[in-house]
Amino acid sequence: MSEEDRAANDADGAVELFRRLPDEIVREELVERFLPLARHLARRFAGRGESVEDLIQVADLGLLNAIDRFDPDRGVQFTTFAAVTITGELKRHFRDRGWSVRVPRSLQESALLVHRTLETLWQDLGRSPTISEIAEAADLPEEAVIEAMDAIQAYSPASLDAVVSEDGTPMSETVGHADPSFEVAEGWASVAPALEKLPERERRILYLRFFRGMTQTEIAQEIGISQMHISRLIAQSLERVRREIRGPEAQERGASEAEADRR
Amino acid sequence: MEDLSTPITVNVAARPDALHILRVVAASAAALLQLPFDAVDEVRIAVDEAGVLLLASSPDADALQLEITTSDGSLLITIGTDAPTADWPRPVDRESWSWTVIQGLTLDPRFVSGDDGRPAIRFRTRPPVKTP
Repeated sequence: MSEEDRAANDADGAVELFRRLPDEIVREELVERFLPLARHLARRFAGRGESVEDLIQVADLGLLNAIDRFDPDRGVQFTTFAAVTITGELKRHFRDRGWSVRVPRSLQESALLVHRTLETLWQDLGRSPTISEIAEAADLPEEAVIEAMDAIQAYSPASLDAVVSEDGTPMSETVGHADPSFEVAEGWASVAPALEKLPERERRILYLRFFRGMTQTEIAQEIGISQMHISRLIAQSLERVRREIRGPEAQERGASEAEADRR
Repeated sequence: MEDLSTPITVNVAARPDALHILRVVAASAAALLQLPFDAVDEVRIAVDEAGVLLLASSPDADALQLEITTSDGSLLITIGTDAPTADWPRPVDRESWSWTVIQGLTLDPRFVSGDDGRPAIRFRTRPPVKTP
């Protein structure tokens, strides 16, 4: 294992502590440091017919097991190992009592979880994680991660058009005839006025992505904000440009949508 | 890395509110290839933009079709409609904001004409960056 891998696998800084085991004080320090993780996982199983106190006990026990069984030389981060062990204990607890082990989540919850997991992994790995890596770390099925992406981003140029359809004007009629705003648009040159209206940072992000061909991860590093943030800013900026070039009517619609979002 | 031995083909109604299905299918295929999150994110946007462009140019279409195959570690994505169009692409299609976005996010984007002159857009995704 290279030094780099070693560092990546010790992003939570636990390895040094594990090397000092079986010192009882060190063990206590580990418990204290990772107790919030156990509690967090316990609460995820709440509302399924077991009291939170019981779940916390099971999760704490899972954490102790994880500390006893963790091998710092295996190249796995302790946080990952502990999360899997604790979740396993919690699931077994439910199974033993005949409860369903599926943790129900609303799309919004998954979206939040995916968002947080992405940020953490991005920092830990120093690159954009894959969907399967996010799914594993967030303990969600891959398809839930993909659905959550849609919820996080809410990027959909077509949704603007769907609003038009709701007015009773079918989509096909609205856009079937030469849309004057499309004729105005001629690649980036013609959207320059719309680009000018974007905040400086968003303009720069679009420039780096579309003209310099940098990846979102590279841009995130260059600008110094998270990749998720870059992803959202790109999506939002593209939509804003679209609204601008579609003219005042679309802008009004955008404003009323934004208002609807706030409600 | 996984490969798609059989192409993925999906037909949906030619309506804007069906585009999310194509986005999710394309994102799932990109996830199979272990593309990073940002690349998957951009595949979704490109598919959406292609759908928007085709819906605008193909008002008589009843269906949108998405076909995905793999080649050299990237996805080859084709999105088309079922309504033959004599004039494809029109200048407004080439000059559209959607096309500008697609060009920025994908490799080798092109307008293609399928069977009986059915309009389609085809592009490749960026291959995954090699990770240590």
